[in-house]
Amino acid sequence: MTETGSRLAEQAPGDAAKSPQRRALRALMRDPMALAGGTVLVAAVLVAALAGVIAPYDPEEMFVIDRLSAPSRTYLFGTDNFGRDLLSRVVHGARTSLLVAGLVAGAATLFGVAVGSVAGYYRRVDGPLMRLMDALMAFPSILLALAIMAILGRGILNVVIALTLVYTPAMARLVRGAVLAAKEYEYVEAMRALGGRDWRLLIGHVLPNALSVIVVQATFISVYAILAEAGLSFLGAGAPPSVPSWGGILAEGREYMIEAPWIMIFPGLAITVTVLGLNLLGDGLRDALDPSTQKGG
Amino acid sequence: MLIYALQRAVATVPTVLLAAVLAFVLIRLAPGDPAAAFLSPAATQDEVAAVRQRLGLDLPVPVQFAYWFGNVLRGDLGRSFFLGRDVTTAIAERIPATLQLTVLALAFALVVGVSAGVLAAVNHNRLVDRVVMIVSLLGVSVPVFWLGLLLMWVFAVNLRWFPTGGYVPITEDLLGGLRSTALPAISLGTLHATLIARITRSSMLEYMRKDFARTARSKGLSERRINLKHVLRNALIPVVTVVGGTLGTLLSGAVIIETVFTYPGIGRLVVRAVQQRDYNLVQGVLLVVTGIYVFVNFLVDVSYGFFDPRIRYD
Repeated sequence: MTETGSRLAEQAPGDAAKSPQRRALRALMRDPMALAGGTVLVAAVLVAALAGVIAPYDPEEMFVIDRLSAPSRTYLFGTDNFGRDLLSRVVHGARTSLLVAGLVAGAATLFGVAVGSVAGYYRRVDGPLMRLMDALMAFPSILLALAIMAILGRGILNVVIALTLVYTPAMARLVRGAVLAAKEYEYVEAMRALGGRDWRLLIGHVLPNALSVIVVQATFISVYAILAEAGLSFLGAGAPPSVPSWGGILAEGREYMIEAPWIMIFPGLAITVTVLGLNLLGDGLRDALDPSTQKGG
Repeated sequence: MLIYALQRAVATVPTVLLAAVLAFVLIRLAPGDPAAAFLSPAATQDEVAAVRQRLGLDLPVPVQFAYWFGNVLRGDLGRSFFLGRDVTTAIAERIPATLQLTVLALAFALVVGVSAGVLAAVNHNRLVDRVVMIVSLLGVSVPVFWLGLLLMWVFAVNLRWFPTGGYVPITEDLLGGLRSTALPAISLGTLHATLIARITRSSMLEYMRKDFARTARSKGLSERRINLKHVLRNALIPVVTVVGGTLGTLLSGAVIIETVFTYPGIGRLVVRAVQQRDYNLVQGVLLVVTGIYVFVNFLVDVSYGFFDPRIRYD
């Protein structure tokens, strides 16, 4: 019995998925748009990681005499109303945005996969869990995040908690659907009939089938998280004023739009380029991981 | 159809009820005593206890919920500490402004999105198609509030074609209303226009290859007539789905855009409520907006049959 079970496991697509994954990677490497997106993302991560080295000045250092200076060779992006170098603040702001994006994508994926797997696999808890997810999804995202921030107060960790709560339900719903579909596969049914343990089946064979949708959704969650973090900080409910963030700089820029438009131009450009890169990568990943869209695959 | 609509209406009840419970519980999780918000920091224990009793905060939480929900069903969302007046009245006063903004944003998104999508599809793989696709990719990547700031900077601050903020009801002054809402609506509608353009394009391309389009072509009908009269009509069905799904994002975007343009709608109200930690107001807005969102999604759901008679609700 064990022998049959292990042979079945060897034939399972989850285990034998190496070549489709390699094919997907090849397709991704051949997609110029996805490559461009990946390059932008790598560049943004490098900027965030090396912010201390790249930034020409301390982001909090005030050159009062040069306040509201236009972009020049001394201050490439100009200065803000306190005379702080905008380039240094935008470079340090990348840390906030990418940290939040990474943590939210990771946490929402973790919780979403856990909730979605349990709901999809165990019919008894499916109803209550999904009703809870539906109720969370019924709130417009920024409104829910704002309400949570009102309770938790400003702070990077609180932004991560709020946005994780906001984006977990969509991931849970997606994973639940994938698990429900994978559960019907004959090899899964056979392994269950042979007495395979639920959690081993789930982790070893059901979830790997859902990996592609999970990866793509996680990429898009990081996009939403960057935009939502910037939005929350813009509204004064995200990162605290002491932490440079793209949304926070934009909010300051709004006040000085007439005399110093560069304050709002550069952080907005930084958000747009990063999000564009992630969107390109996400689109490329989706195409590469979906066999039906692969050319000549 | 009627039975399906009733079933869907009943199905929304647990969602709204659970959302109400969540809104209630979320606010109760906030640190600090809500009763203290009514009093000065120098208030005595007895004074706080009296206010707690008056607000019903000394009762068990499920009983508090029952009272609160009973009041909600009667249209009473409580009192705003910050505004010093009824939450229901405050929200009701601001709904028309948000409605004007979201309806105009949606109209802009539909007109621009569908036109761009059709143009891209009929010029498939040509320059127009590529431009539409690139612009639509940019559109989904630009933060809505940054786009708002840029539009304000160019068209209100520099060119002075539009006001930098404020709101004129369209019902009182059509032109003034359109001028006051144009920039916020364009900022808010752009993301949705790009999504609609993408879905219209791919849907048009799919239907242009269908048998009925080929038959129409073989009958000698002009390409323009086939595309606009036959293909587009079918291709718009997925657009309805997208529009339904984007309403939540429109409401979310309105929260930020109203702040950018100092537009006196529900979004700006909730931002100020959050800044002031006015929990009753946050809770009220959360519930009302969620209710509107669920209701609109219900309408979109039951409207599919109207747009596509092939859909049967069994």
